[in-house]
Amino acid sequence: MSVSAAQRLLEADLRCAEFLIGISKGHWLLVREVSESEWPYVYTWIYAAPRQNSPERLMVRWDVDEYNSQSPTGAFWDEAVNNFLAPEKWPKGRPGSVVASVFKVAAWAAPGKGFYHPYDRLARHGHHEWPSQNPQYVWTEKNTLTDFFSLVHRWLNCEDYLGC
Amino acid sequence: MKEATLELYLHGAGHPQVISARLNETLREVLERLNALPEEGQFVFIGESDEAIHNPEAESDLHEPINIELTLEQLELHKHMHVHTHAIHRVEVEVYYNGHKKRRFSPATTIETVTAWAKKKFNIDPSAGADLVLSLRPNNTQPRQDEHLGDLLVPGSCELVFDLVREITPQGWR
Repeated sequence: MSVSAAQRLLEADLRCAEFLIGISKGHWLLVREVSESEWPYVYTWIYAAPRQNSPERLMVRWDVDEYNSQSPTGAFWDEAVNNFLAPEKWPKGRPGSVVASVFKVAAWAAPGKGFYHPYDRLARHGHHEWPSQNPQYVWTEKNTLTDFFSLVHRWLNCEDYLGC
Repeated sequence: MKEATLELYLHGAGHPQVISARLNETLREVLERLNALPEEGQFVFIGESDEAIHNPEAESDLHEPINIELTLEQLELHKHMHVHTHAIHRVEVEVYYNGHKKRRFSPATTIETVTAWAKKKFNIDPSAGADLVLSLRPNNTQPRQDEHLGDLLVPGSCELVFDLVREITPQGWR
């Protein structure tokens, strides 16, 4: 699939009710419109539950190369320095929780550059056992980026999220 | 003067759709234009119901269908946003965890509300149950938190059965 076809597909998904409902509920927001000049990167805000000394929202940069024949990868992003958010600023989770696991910034192949979850292409790489262990999280062409937004939003709004 | 238009979410005809409508139109006119009028025995609800969070012990929600002869303005759809057509009156939900719990929900109830209700009914401490999610039988899919019960029903069915399960923590060190 050419880049422009992939971009058109993503833009169509971002016009769907599932994505717009999330915006209307204050769960997420596009930082700016998807553009050819920034492709394959897309920037969103994901809103988080209030925690002391923590931001109300975090920016995520999504790499949607070859959308949607391969799964995306996303990571928290620091717009001020135009780079990945420093590991010490990533959201923390209760030790042993899913939140701590998916946001971990050490001890895997792409710490601080992806989410440690089967949806994330960087994390899935090298984990050939994950599809059989987590069949509900096998990314298919039926998935949309909104499915991933929804998960990140849930992790940032559950009781296991401790703040940044 | 240009008439005020609303962007709404229409449920009940496959994936929810984004629709535009004028405030002074009746809901019947809107649904007719979209070929989405309810058939005999079907209902139209608006908004989202979170009754189960506030009254978890009730056997059934009280959320009632609306009169589609009213205008969008009269129905305050600028606040409610969601229209559920082709809906059944109640969705029979069963959730299994340690035992099982049942309730009859409005089809306009989100998975987030059903999850919160189930945790209350099973007396699960919020801090200990943060990673519990609903898994829909028989395929073990985990619907998104903002999905509505009515969207999950197989046509002709009025029942949904879930397991309350721990979200899987990915394992491995690579």
